[in-house]
Amino acid sequence: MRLLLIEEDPQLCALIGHHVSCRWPEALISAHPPTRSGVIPDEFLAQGYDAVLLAQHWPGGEGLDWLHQLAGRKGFAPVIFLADAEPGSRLQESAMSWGAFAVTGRKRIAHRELIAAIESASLRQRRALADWRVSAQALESHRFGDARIPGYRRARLLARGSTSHLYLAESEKAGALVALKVTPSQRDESGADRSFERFLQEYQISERVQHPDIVRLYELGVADDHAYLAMEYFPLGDLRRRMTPGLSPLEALEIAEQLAEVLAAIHAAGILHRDLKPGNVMMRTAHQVALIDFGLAKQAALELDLTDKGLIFGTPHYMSPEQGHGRVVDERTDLYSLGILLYEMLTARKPYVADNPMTVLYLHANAPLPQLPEPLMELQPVLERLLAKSPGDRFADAAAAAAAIGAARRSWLERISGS
Amino acid sequence: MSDPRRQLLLELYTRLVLLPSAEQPAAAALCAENAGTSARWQGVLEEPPHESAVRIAHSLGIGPPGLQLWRASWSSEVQGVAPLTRLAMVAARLLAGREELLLLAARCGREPSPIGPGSQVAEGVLVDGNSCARMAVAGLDVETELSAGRGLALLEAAGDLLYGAGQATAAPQFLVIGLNMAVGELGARGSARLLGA
Repeated sequence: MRLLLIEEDPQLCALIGHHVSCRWPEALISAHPPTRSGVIPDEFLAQGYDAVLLAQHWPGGEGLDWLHQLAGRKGFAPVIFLADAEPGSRLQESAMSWGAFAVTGRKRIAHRELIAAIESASLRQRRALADWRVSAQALESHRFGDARIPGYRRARLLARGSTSHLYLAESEKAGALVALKVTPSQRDESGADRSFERFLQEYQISERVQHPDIVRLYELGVADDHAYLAMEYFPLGDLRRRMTPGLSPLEALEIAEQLAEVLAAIHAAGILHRDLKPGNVMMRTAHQVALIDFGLAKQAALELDLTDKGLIFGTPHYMSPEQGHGRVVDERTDLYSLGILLYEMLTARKPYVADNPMTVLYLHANAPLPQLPEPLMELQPVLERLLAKSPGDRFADAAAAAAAIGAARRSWLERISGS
Repeated sequence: MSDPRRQLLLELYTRLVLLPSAEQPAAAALCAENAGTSARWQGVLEEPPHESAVRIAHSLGIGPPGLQLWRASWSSEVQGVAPLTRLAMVAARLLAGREELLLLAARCGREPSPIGPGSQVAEGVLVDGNSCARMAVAGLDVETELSAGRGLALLEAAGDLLYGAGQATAAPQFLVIGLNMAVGELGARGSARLLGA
């Protein structure tokens, strides 16, 4: 039994969980607290669940509004509405007319009524899924380009790249929307699938570095000769989007500190990211980041370099002088990129801009260090330790950078709290 | 999601209730041994349910970790779960906050019914140190509800009623099993193994 519980109150979640587990000891209940987890994306149909339990209300939200929205989606799992009102009330009638599969008590749980409702909902969902799985529509929904990938329902194409396409899909196994990266079948003369090797490397890195601020990877597989990688989907988008309305200095420092900490974790595992940029920093919540795309990441000790010799991969605007000039890089190259990010978060502009990439690389190596505007001058020393031209003048490692950024954040917080 | 200690008590009850009385102590001892703990038969509860609850809670609270078992034969003026409701509500209040203590009490007779998931008729109770907290989360005031004679509603709201198939005999005999075991101590091993399955 697998249930999605949309309820804000953790104590009620525990109580409902207790009732359910008395009947189904192995039941899996995923809690979705609306104010913290946000709205459920339009593409989500909860097909990996037997039923969805939806609370009548929570601070700032009404379950009936959500019910109208969710139950109206074709193919959405049965919704059991958890009402505070007494049986037979108009609210219960409204819930049923708006598509609830059943209505039962939210706090005053009638055990047998709740269990019976879940059992019936589960039965209906399983029948509906069984019918759907053999439909032409289902077969088509498993198609991602030329590959047919069972267990994933395509929602839409997110991005088309030269080495892979990125889709939004719903995973039955994960019970969530995922970002599904699918490669074109791509083999070299030796028969090796270099795309798959890149995915494999990314997956291995994620497995090795157990840190909460790294993207969660769910599955790596091959279907119809295409490699695919299922990973966490971020409805809030990336840091670029987060920066658009502008970040306060405190927010910028919080994000930079988190990034320095996650860099410390991946460096401790002997890995360099080498492509740190706003597009590779996703927002899990408004204040929590997740680092993605280890496609360019390289184990410091790894002999095999998957990026072709002689070519420079990465984004010029965030590239360290040594990386831009093809010299040997170490973990301090990521600290330089972090410095560029911090500058951009603080000022809403990039420090080095030019018409062509080569000029940008030249500026990284030769232009004077960017200066923060007067109100931010107390942050200049930290920025300069990140953006030093010579790696030897930067912080010794990401942990030291995290400590310095953390100290600057606390100092900034004290100053604005006192003013 | 599920507390494996609750599963252990349910499975132990199911196993014992199907055995003749004379064989129950040996079976309980074997289960306890598999769990790496002990089982102590504490005899027959002679007092009324609410007084028995005090004795049981005290014995569990001061006793060593492990299982304790009792039999009871409450000939209540009210049949059904009424004796169990009384026992459970007193015990729930005495166990409140003691997360390591659980108590199962259920009817047994010559034709015991299966109990637990999927069943329909309330024939037992399983309370623990969080029962009163769950009742409060359900918006119920324990004292108010009890004074109005709604103990059964309290137990249902807390998810602490156990349901049987309604085939038990009318004989007012009960099996009471207490467990003193910290949360998480059982999780890794699993109740099936503890029961020697």
